[in-house]
Amino acid sequence: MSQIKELFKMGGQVDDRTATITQIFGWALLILLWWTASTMGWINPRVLPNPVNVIKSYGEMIKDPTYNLVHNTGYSVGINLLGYLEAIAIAIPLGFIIGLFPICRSLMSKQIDSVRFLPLPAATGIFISLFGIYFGVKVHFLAFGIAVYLIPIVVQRIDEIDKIHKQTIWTLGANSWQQVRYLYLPSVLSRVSDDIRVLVAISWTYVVVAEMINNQGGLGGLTYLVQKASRSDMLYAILFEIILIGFLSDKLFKLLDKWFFKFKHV
Amino acid sequence: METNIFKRKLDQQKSAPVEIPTEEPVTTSVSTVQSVKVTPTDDLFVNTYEDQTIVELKKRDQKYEKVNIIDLVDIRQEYDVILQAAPGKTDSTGNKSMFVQPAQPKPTKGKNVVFDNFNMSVKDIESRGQFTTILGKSGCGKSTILRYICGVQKPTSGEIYLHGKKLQESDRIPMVFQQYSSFPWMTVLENVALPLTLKNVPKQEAHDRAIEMIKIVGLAGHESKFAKYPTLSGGQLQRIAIARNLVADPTILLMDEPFGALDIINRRSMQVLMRKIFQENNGVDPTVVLVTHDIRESIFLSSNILILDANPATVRCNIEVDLPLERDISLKRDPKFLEYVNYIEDMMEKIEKE
Repeated sequence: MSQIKELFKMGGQVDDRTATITQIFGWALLILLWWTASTMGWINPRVLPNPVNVIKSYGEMIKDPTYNLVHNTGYSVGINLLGYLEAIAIAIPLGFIIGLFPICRSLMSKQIDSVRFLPLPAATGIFISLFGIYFGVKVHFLAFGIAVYLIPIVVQRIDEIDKIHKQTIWTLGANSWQQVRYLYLPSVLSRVSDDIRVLVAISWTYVVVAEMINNQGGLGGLTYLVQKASRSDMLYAILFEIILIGFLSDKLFKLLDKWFFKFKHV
Repeated sequence: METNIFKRKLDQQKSAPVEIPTEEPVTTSVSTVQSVKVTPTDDLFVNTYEDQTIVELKKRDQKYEKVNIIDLVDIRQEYDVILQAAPGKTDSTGNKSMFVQPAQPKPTKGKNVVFDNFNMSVKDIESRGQFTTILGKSGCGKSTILRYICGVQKPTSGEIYLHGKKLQESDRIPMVFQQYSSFPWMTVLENVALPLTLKNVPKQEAHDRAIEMIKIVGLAGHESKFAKYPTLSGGQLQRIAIARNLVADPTILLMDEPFGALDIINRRSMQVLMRKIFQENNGVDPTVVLVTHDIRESIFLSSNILILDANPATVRCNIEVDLPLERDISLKRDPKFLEYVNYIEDMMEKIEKE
């Protein structure tokens, strides 16, 4: 009873159990509202399909080879994974070089910062000319989209390293490589790990755009297909699947963070 | 009766300096003294009783007390005493000594000049190290001196000599900072062993030496914990910093208000630990230069205290702490210890008012 009172108290604090029950209740309430709105015809079913139809559409998309949901999911996850790995492989070393050497910072940081303002979907033609129209271009497009955000973050994380740690490693006698090995790498990577996890959320935007280039499948390509067929139930089903994948990958990144950076979690 | 004698001596000697030979040469941090030159003042007299020359001081309670020359050199330098250095022994930069002579550029309009022709030297005492403390009011440049010595900051002009050689870019002097400086992604053991790892000491040897040092600073049992707050307390984190800086047997150790962030109990235990490490040696024999605001801490730990003036910084006085080498916490109640406290407090107050 006290926990319920706490829920309505300004600045109140509730225990984990109450918080979980409240979250489930929130979801149930949303689905109920959705179901009521679509069943009662308050909103056009083409805009908001019945939730039962959305769930049923999963079966259809899995069985029907036109939609081939399982293959398309694997395709998108593959692009996302490879794009991420490529982005990390580019952004971490480049971010370190820019962050650590003033000459590189002066030469490159402003240019990279300015690329963040580039509307990437408008630049797809450039990517096609550079990398062709097959799987590779989609991975590179996604990698580029993530890397232009990640590089300034790595530089910022280098700048944020405690002065006291820099002075300590210096006074202990570390040479340049030892400073990178024992200070910069562990300090920066442990914090960039959280940034990479947060970027997962925006990466799906780029995945969908990348898959539109010479549509060869993937969840982005599938959304294009079902929209053309006016199957809003399927569109909602795909969007929910993307949210679910995003949620699971977030959990996976948290697990990896706990594995690689144990000190953050004690 | 006695008072009359003093008055007579005052009249006779107040104007001219008197040079008094010491019975044995007295070593201070800046020189070896074979005589003291004293300018008598209202508070200080030089009397000759038959063939014995005695310096007498007026105490705070207005009574007169005979002091020997060593005490005079050690603690009464605010009385216009001029130290006469033995030829060739001034500002020695022999083994294990430091000589600091940073200087900032000439004062420019509106800018505060911290150092201008500042000179300081710290000399090691063979086989037992040297513990020098720098005291002075906030902003007088105490911490800056340490940063100059360890090389993380460079003076705009002037020189720093270590072991008789000019400080090089490659010279690294370990320093314990006020802030917690342990690397949280490393365990206590990894933190303490780090200086040895950086010097490519074989892994097993580095491990064994780090374990030994962890025991000395009282952190046994915490080796595998990550060196972060609140997994470890502030006091434990500073113990790690001390252990890490001592494990590689440094010849010089700098400490910038290392216990400043600790509560009074932890601070006290760290002072005892530091003194214990210093006096028991434990294989380490460094020249320690400590910066602190705590007068009691400075007296308890040090063999030598430098008090700085500010704007620009100068060494106002150099106090040799004539207390037993073997010190424990009970020393803080010793009348001689308290006399040092009162003396330094008075001097600091005087500097503050100037």
